[in-house]
Amino acid sequence: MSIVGVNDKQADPNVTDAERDERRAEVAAGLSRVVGARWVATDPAVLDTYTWQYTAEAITGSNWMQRPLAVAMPADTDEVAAIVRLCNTEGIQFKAISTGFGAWGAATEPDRVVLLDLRRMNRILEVDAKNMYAVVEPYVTANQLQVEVLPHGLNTHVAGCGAQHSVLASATSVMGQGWDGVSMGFSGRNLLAVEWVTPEGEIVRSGSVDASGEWFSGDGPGPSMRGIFRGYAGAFSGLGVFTKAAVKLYPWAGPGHLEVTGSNPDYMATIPEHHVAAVCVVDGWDQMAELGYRVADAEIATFMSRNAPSLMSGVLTADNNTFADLYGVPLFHEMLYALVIVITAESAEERDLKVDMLKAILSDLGGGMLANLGGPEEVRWLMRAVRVLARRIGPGDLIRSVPGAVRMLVRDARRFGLGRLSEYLPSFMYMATVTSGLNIRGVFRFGGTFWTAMGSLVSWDNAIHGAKVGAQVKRKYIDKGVIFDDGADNAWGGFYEGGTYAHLEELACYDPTDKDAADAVFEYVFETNLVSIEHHTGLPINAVGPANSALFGPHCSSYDTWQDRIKASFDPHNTADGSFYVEPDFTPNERMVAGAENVTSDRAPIDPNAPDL
Amino acid sequence: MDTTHPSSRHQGLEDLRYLAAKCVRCSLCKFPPLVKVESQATSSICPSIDTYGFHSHSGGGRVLMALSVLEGRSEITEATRDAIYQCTLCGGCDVSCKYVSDIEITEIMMALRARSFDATGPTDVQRRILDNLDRNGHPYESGTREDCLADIPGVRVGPGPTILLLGSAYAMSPERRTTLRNMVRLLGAAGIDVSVLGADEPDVGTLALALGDLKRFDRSASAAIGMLNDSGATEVVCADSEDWATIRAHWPKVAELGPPARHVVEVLDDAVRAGRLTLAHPVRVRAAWHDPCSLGRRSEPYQAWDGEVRKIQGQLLVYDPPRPVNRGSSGCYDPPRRLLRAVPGLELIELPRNRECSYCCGAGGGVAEAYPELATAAAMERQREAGTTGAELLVTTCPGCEQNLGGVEVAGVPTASIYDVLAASVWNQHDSFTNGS
Amino acid sequence: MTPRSKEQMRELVPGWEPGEDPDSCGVVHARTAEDVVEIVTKARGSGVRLRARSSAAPHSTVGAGDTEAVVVDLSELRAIQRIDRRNRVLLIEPGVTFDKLVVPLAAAGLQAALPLCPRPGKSALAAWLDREATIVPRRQWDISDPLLCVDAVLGTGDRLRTGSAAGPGTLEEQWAAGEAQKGPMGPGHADWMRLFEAAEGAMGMVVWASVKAEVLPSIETAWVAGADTLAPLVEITYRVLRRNAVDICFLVDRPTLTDLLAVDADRRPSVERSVSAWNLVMSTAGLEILAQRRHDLSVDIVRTEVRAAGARLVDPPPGGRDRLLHILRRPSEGMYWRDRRAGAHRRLYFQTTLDRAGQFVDLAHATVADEGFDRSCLGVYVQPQLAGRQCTVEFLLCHALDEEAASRARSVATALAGRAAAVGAFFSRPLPDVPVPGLVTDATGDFLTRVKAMFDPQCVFSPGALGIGGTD
Repeated sequence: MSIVGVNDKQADPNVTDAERDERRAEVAAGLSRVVGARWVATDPAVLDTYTWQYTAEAITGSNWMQRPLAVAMPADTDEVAAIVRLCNTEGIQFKAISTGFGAWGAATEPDRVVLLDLRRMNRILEVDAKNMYAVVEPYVTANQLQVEVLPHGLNTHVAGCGAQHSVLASATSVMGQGWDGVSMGFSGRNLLAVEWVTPEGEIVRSGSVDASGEWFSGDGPGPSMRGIFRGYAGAFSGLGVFTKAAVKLYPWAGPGHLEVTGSNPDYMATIPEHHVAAVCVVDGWDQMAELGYRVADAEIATFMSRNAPSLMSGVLTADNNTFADLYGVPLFHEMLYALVIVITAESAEERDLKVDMLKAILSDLGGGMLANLGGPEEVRWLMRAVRVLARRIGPGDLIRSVPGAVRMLVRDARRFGLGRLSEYLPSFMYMATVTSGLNIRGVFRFGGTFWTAMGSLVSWDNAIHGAKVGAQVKRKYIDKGVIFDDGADNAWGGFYEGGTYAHLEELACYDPTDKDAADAVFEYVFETNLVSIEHHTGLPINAVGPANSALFGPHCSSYDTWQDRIKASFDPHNTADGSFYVEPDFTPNERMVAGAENVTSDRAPIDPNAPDL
Repeated sequence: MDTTHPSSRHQGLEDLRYLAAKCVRCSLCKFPPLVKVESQATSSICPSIDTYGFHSHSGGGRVLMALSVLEGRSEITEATRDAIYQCTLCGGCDVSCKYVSDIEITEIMMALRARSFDATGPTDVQRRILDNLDRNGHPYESGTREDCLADIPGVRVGPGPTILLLGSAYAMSPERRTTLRNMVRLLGAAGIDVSVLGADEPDVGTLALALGDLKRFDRSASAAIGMLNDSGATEVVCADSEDWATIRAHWPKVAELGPPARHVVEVLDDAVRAGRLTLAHPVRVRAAWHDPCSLGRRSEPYQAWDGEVRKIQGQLLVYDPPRPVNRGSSGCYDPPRRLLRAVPGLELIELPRNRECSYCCGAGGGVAEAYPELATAAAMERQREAGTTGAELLVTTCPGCEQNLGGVEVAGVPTASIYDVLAASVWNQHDSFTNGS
Repeated sequence: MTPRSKEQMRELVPGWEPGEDPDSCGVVHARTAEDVVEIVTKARGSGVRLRARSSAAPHSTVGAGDTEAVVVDLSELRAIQRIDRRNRVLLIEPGVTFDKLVVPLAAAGLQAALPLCPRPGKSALAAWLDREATIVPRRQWDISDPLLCVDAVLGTGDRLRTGSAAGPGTLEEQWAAGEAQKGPMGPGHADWMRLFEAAEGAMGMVVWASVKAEVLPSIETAWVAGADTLAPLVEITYRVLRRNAVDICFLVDRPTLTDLLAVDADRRPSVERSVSAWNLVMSTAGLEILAQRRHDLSVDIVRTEVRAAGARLVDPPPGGRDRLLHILRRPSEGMYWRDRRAGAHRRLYFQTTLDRAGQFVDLAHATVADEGFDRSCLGVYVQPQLAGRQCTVEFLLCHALDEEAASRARSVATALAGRAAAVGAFFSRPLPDVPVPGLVTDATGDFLTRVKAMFDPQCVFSPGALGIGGTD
């Protein structure tokens, strides 16, 4: 998930260093009165640890966002509210973060923003196992909540950025796509009641918790408060601070603890008895569309996601050199059109039913699957793979690739002590999808970072349409050498709410220290945004912040103007840093304008009916 | 190579910049590899951030401070220096990062310490430690190796085929003498003819390294390696786990040690497996093993790499030749477990955070001396963890761990050195640990 | 509102008619979304207030308190614009009533999320906008379900399309690109659709919406588990929902199940005798692939859980399970089921969790006793929602058609609402004509006022029972 079109601002030239330092000291003194001096940081190097951020390079042109005025670590809601009121009084801004992963966790204006690092607020306040919800403070991570609720026979939605994300931040404030959406929804839709410190410093509790102190509902009386602050994107702290949130939990037909064997970096999950992890392969986007719809209709999958060969190879390997070897084996590319499906079941009977349903669908589509189902299924998959590859790359190349494939299999057999791809690939994908603990491997590691594009929450057909046109934009930048060549198609995504809607985002991996790449990726994102408008692929994952609202608003019911009104109404003094949300009097900076001009003068040709890759 | 220490193979901040710049601030360095986390209570791997909270006090945070300093965005102030040194250098962050990436966090943190030391000199506490090293040959205010030897009757002093490096932490601490005595007795019982160097035992450089005084470390390590190489010894056995990590992971940057080196637990493990040491008497206790960072993830051998980063397929970063990466898995984990399992009646319990995912006791990296609040907080946390397992005894082998975990026993479980437990089994001698020595 | 002549009203509200409804200030019929925009635009600033009405008579009394407002009758916006089997979605206008939905959806292999036997003439969109509970809790992912995207006319005269329907592109362009208006959130940083929910039109008038539909099962069987008390059935409910084993799932007491089953009044005594004091009504289903196996697996789970809880599966009279399923999958037939017992009814509903439902049932029984209300005229319906995470508890106060009986029921409902609120009942949407103490807290009031000021700054829309933006 990433953002383009956020305005990086410069320091006020009329303020001298001495004045700035004096201001910082004054604010720090005020913050110290609230949280204690121990929990206030103003040291430049310490503040810089809140300034370096992934995706910063495409916003600021360097790896650094802007340095905050101070960082404060409140212990509770009252302290948060006191800090927010202080910011109102002082005419400065605040931004709240939990793990603070991503440029949106940083300031965009130098020395004007107090960051609230909410790490001290890290309690799981309640797990209501019967009614399947948990109440959490901001720094409870998805991983922590997951391991605490699995023993209750429950699970929690984990966002695709990795399970170290804050449950509360994802549910209240920031996106929320994930591998498990088909059974565990989208972060924003899993939100129940909240405790919210408004931009004016009022403490508000929504829904049932306001009425009775119970957390099961955040909607009403009447229109839902969730309508104001959440949306698809979340307000990125631009509309206050959430200090407690109730989130839905989901049934987990699995063990209370996932058994993981091996040692770093080759941990391997033992797939529980009634679970199946399957890489389900079909041939082409049209069949992939069918596969998605049919599996969703049949209610087979607990986890269902599309992962390109590059992503799966990345997850399987611990370093880029090994990745390059593995990715070079054509066998892996047979899985270009594949969904990773994890089946969970309470009983053998339920598992067998779901597996048979899946087999029936794949058989109908001429597909195959690599799953932890033993030999015959693997043989079927292999025969199909050879057939498909012989057609796709030709028999000659296929034969020439055999030594590489054998080397890979031998190496991995040695590495895992296993003989068959059908055991370790499903195990890795199972571990990756269930725990969301391996995500950095699959995207960040290749070039050092990544941005993403497209990725609206739409019908599965439309998501695939977006992936097809998005890949054509990406090809232009790959050809320029500024994006890792993953075959252009690295659309990752999943399904939500039983397959009601879906998303596919077009990942672009690159070296963040490469200035050309950073500039180009900015343009890549902007160009895919234009394509989203022109080809009606929905409001993309990048449609965040004032520049994008201005870009998309006129094409989308002028929602930007209504957002502006929400901001003006609920944050009349513009105290909450809305740089990734809504900024009054926003004007794009020079970099943004120049990038946009570059794109519009050199557009990638798009053929919406282009053949499959 | 950084120009600060041209004579050694230490990597300076500039050398490590390409790795530091890979940090995406994902915060995974704060947790064990997520697939290994079992509960929220045991979901941290970093005592520093648990104690101080700010991102600067995580592995990734220190990487970013290093980048800030490197790029001239900030000077090293007193607050920066605290943030740099309020860390036990336990390497937990390094393991977690290398589950998904390959940033050498520990190396970067050590290089940042060196930069800090060069730029600002030692803090008052550090100055006292260094003065002690100069004055006493060890980092403590008082104590002599002669006093120590007096408490280990029968040990041979002087050159011999197997040299036992006692280190300073055991040798200078009267409270640890029983343990040291048991260790030497066990080696003897195993038929290993060890000798100690007595007053001539060199400082291996552990604390100088931790404080970032690389010149001093190079001098110490160089002298120690030279002495051992010249000693005629055919094997070096190391008693102090902190020194063990130094010898394995950092001495090779200075010079090659001729004779092979092993840690005491490896020697004893071999002896028991070969039937040369018999653990005869039952020790009926539920014991949890605490993996010292220095015996485990930080003791992986140094692997030199002299190559370059290349880009292929546009922006895919690869190493030419492939760069070896230590990920914490090949530390010394099985020997102490095998030893304890071999003790009749002893039930070995795994702590939730174990092996490469162990939680640091809080004593390392110069923290016990300079930031006792961190040392105490970490030990309390580890004791709390042990307490949840039903363990009756927390066993380890590192003088720092034994001291620090034992110092907060009131919060948890009595602590014992593995040598005391083994001695109890060999000689039916229980008083050495049941009183919480 | 200032009294105006008919001529003045026609000037201010083109198409205005005096109407026959004494509870309104006339009516204007909108036939297109553009009509609605024109009506709102004209009315803005004129002092005329508007309130939407989509259903056929009889109309809910919710929102009808504003007798000075002009009714904007949306019943002629009744197109089912799209039924999309592949994407399991339909796109409907507000005048589409439940009785007009079932057949065309079934023809496409789909079914809608119905409330429990709704009035045939009830606007489906209005019911869903009002967060009326639906009977298949396992498919309710969000309390806003099955609503996805809406197109609303605001008090400013602007139109706001929400969710993925907002764009880019027209509906037709989106359809051509494979999009089916499935994304319920946004666009952008707010969930606009949620701001129109349970607002009784005070924030805007919705002129169409996309709505989740579900695959029509190829096999479906209805089940009734009976017990003497509610508690074991609640336990079963938790378990079968946790196992994803049942589609239809709700709890009713004997009189209420009798109301549902006894379409003919003369069958009422025999039906009532044959049903249990408490009943968990469920259905098991097989979809398309391996439907029978899937269905049978669900049946096994249901049987196991019912047996484990000490309850019993009973054959519901008359006509058994097939008849029951027929009843539940359609709008109410014949006399509206809630009126069958006494001719009329008053509903009182709120949100809680299933494990607390029993406490509220006891409270209701105590209250009707205290109020001297005929206990046999109380009905209980507990509808699990969000797959069992919460439920709507509905108390049905059945009464005769006369004014005095109605007043009596209202009085009991008022007392019961007060008592229930005091012990944690969450009234997430306003009740018809019954005040709930403390319903709108300062925080909620402030929130509603700010949203109203944004969407309808001139208060052209009637404030509704929550008094959103109301000044009198």
